[in-house]
Amino acid sequence: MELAGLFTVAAGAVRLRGTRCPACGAVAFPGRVVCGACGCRSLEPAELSGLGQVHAFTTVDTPPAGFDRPYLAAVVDLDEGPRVFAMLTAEPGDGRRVRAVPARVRHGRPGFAFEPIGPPQ
Amino acid sequence: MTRFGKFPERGLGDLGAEAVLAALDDAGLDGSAVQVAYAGHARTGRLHGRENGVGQLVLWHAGIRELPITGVGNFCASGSSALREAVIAVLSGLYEVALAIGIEKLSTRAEKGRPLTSDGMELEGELGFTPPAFFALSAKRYMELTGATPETFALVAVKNRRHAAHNPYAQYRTPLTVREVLDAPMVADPLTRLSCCPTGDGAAAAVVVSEAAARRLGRARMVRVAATNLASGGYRPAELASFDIDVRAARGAYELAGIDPGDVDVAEVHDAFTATEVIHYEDLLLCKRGDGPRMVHDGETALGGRLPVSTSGGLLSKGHPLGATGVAQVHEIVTQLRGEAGPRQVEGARVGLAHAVGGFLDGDEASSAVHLFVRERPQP
Repeated sequence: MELAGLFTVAAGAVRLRGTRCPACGAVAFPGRVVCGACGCRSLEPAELSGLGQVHAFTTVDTPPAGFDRPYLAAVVDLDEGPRVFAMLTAEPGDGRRVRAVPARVRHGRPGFAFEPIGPPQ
Repeated sequence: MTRFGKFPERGLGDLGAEAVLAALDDAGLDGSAVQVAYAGHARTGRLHGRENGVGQLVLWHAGIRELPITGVGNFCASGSSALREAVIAVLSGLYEVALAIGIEKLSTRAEKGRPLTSDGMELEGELGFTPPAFFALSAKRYMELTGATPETFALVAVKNRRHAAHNPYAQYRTPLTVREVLDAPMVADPLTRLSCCPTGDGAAAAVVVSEAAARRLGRARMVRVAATNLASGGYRPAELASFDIDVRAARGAYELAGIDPGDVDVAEVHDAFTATEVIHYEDLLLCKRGDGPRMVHDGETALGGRLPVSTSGGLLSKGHPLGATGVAQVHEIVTQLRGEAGPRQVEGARVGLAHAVGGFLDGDEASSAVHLFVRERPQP
């Protein structure tokens, strides 16, 4: 799948590109056409911070094709609301806070993963 | 149905035709009696270059032509969806005799020994998430909520293998121990290789007829489809350890059939993973919330127990040729309700349930099918 339209990298930080609903504020990633929360059809592009919380994670010991070693897989709830399924660069700390960082993904392609960070300021 | 296994020398067409001819012979019908056909398949385009026209190819091999044929794709519920379309075609009154085919050949895939990626997980798969990772998290959360342990899940694999010893169609039929399941290579914690269904090749077919056609054919060995139901995701589920899509598919089926979940005597569920079979007990309303682990440890879902589940050996023992699975489940339930399951017979089985679910979208599964079947007459 072509990831290029879904994220940007600037100064080492990953921002995710989705949509925001002007009517109810709901944010979607990936972006969508109609708001899943209120049905509004005029969704606006939104840049997500890449910050979030690990909801759950596990080790993938037998990697699927395109990955050549075990890794951590996590469900991350982004601060803006959407849920993302991606790799973790390391086990999360107690606060389970993470941020999106550039990472090689399937078949070594450029993508993003989540890196543990300290608690919010 | 055909046996399930690895048959690299067989093609989609002749494998499917074997199942079709077996179904027609079982029904006492000639191919010319079939008026419409639905073929469920999920990965034939990617693996065999045949995205559409699998039904046409299978029926060409079976000497049947000129029919209205529709390919049906709903991930792992493709075969169940093909059956559903056959039922709806007959219920519509447009057709009296419909054929549902389910078929898949996964043995030629290049990534042997690696977990199957899922259609619908394009973004997630790219970022490192595949079904075993997803269901490993469901399993972990389910353990937190219910006290299930890795041993609980391993017992499901052991149970289903024990059932498969009595099923000549199953791919893996030798007994397993809990120790072997727990010590198998880890795929995604806590799911080991033996916690995950194997891949394989296989085909199954079912003939669905109207009331009028049933009367003409004589009702011996007929089984009634009491309900067909299909659901797609609600998206962004709140809970990892339960799948509301399955709850809705099941609840709708029970309501359509006027059947209480407690009346189900035998069930084939989507045991793609040991842990998900246990979760399905609860989501399909076959037991109270949280009671899944006890059902396993008390042997309630083993042959001889109160509600045998996966009497065929399940996906875990048969393997999971994606499109074939849903129709193969129907084969097992029909065999049970006819009283023809031999050493794996559930005594007096009158009501059977078949459930298949698959795909992925926005954190949820994409397609869940539940069918209910009722024996027409008392067993001889």
